[in-house]
Amino acid sequence: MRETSFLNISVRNNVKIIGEGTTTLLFGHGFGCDQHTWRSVSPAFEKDYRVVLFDYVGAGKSDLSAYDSERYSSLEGYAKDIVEICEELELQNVIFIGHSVSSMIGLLALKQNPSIFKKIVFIGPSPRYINEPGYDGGIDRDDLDELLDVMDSNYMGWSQMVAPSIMGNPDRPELGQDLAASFCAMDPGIARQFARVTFMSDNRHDLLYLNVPSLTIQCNDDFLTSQYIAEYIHQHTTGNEVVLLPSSGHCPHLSDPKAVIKAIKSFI
Amino acid sequence: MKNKAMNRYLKKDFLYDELLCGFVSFSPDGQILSINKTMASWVGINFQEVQVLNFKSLMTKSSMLYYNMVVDPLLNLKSVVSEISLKFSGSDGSFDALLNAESYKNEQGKLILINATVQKITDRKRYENELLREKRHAEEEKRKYEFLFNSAPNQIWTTDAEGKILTVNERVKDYFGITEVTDVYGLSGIFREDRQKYQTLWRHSLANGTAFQGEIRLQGIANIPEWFMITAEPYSDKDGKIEMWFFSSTNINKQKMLQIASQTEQKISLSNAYKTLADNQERFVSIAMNQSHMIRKPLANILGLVQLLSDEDASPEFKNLLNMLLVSVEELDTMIKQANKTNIPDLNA
Repeated sequence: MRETSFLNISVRNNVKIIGEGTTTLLFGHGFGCDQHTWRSVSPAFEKDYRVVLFDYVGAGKSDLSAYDSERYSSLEGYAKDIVEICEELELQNVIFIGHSVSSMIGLLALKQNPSIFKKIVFIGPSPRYINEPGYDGGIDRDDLDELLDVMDSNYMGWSQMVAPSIMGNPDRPELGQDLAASFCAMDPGIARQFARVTFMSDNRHDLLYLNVPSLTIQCNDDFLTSQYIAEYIHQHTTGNEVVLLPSSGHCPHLSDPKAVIKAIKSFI
Repeated sequence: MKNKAMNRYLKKDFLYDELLCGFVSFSPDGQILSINKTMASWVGINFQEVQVLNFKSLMTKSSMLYYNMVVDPLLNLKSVVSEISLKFSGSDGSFDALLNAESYKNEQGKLILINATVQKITDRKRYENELLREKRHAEEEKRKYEFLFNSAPNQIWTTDAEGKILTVNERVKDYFGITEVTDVYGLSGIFREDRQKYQTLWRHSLANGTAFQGEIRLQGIANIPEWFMITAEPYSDKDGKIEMWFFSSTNINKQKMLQIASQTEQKISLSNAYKTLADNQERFVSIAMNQSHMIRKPLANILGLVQLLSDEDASPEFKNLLNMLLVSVEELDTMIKQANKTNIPDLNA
């Protein structure tokens, strides 16, 4: 398959375009991952679609110098990455597939530019992670503060432990085996801010802007989200389908890629 | 020498269960396969019950999230992870621990089992938290300093003890149109004609450790030299050794140009005043000369006539009167001469 790289935004976001189809599938990775997270899923679409993969600024092989802590202090900044990629590649009527926090980032991109997507797929989405009376996001505010503490206290060891394995393998072939070697490659400071921004986000009111058909793929036992949240999204949007997968975990595109491919194909 | 009593404590089962740290074996999804008594007692769950739990469920929620997001993927990537700081739920509140783990894969390369030790670090953690708090405080202070550094209206920069530039604030970057410092001594930013003056002053400050102050022209991106008041103070460490210099420069171009302009104006007006005075003096001298000439002419006549009368025969009384008249006329003449001298100041003196 032909693989093309563009300049500027495409370089900044390490955009990869694979496949020859006329309809574009844009895959957005989740928190702590990069585009390699799609390796078990995206090839299944390359024959019939143009597959566009990218890394958010601060993740994977994106241009770290483009990281602006003010811009990326909210998910809107990450959504801007998507809008800018679509603008540079002149993409419209795209089918966006977002994992985890990318689900809501995709929704915010649609809010910023309502004509870019014609369909959206959410994998393990959550419009709000923090609990509040009447809403079970899954995480207490205190848990989040403690999580940031845990990230801080592992800050030093983390980078020391992880750096050699990444540096020694520029092509990272072993990435084929795991979810988030890339998470570890992420600068701990950026990872911490991304975690904070992700877990502090509240996009429940943005669900109103979901004006295109959408699909939610939700695992049975997910440490970050839940069927309750999938149901919440379903109830607060129009044209949203839910597919519940029996597999456990937060990353069905890695643990059960066949089921994910099947669900996406029948939706699009 | 080993004896019977000792043997009990050296048995492998005993060592495993009573190990001074927790020891857990679990499957990749966290299901506990084996756990020692130390760990079971730390988490405060009955030994039989704990064996069927998920290892991640023994952690606090935040640590479980961190484990899922970071440690799990790491164990897929490499076989050993060490010194991961986590919190576990204990019988009397949560406790901090360090996790060391080793993962094992089957022949197909699939992860099948993880062995982990859990070491309590409650006291050490307290100290670490203290350090962490200090670190955050220091970071906060640094942010404040940077804010101040960049929001100040002046150009501010620092150099090391030898005068090499360390940091510059946004004002400096804006003025010189740079994103980073390439000229470490910053000389290229100083207007050519002022470089020597700057270097002389700066060398003096560097050699003596005394504050620097000078009016120097800088030439920025606009390529027009402008006057700045540049000051620098040395910053010394605890032992009194100069560690760095804090520079600040304020644009005084407007004042300086006004000052230069007003100095020129003053010079012109002063020389005009001198010229007026000289003109006036000349006029005055000429008037005075004319006046004295005009007055002294009739006086000379009187004097001549009095002298003529004195030659005539006359009574001694009359002569005496003439003599007195002569003296008075001469006195008047002297007075006029003197008045001329006194009233015309010698402006060339």
